[in-house]
Amino acid sequence: MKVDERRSERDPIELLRAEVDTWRPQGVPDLIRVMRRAEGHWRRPVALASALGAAVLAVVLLVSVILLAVSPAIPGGETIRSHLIAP
Amino acid sequence: MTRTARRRQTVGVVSGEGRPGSWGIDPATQFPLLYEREYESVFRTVRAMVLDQAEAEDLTQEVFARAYRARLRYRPTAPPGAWLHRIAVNTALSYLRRRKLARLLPVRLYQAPDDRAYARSEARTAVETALAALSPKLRAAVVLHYFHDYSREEIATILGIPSGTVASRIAKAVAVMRRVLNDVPPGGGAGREPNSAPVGCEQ
Repeated sequence: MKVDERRSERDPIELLRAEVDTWRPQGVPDLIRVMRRAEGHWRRPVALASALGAAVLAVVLLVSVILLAVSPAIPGGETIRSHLIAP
Repeated sequence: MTRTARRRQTVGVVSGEGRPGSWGIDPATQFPLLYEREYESVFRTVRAMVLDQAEAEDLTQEVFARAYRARLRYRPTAPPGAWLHRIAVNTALSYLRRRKLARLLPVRLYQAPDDRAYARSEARTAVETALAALSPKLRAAVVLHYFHDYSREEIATILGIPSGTVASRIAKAVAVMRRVLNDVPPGGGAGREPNSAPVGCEQ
């Protein structure tokens, strides 16, 4: 007797349905918490942009200080120094 | 739970007539009701895409946070359930893209969870192993169609792709899942060493 091979295979669709049906969140969080999260969504990009701006400013200041310190050693250093320090 | 009962719990159809579900709920004024009815359904879609319980819980909250911000822009051209699933799929895809990018960073500021490590886990089931063999877009199509019972046209609307593409994604996903499930020993996926990228990454 010939065995129906298709029947012996595991049906992916039935298995998928059975498996997904068992997936449940550990709990449904309070909607207030989700609403707070929604209202505070702008904080992260603003904090990131602020941190990035501060980092860029720090780098510019650091480069300026280095230029002031080494200005006599580099060609044209005095010109740079005069631009950096107001008379 | 029967398919009909599940359908009732989750979504209506695009036409929506005579079928209970989230159709008829206005996200702008009845957001708490929508949240209550659709939370589990959205969680399952996200869980199927990211294949991680904890990440899925966090992303589901993110989905509803995004939906809450966008609730006033909702237009009733599709059921709110379909609208939420669209947000869920996009949120999960963004998360997976970020995770992939984080893995490429030379300096690992963030230790991203690894799909391969996940697939090696003994806790995974055969179905999760089969889903891990698919790309996230194929996972989304297969779960929306076979679990949430969305039609190809509805999935096309949710994913923003032609219905022919949905049909080909579903067919491809089922073929891959069938192959993987027949390779995996019954009772779990442990033992299968994934040595190739998920199918459908190019889409």
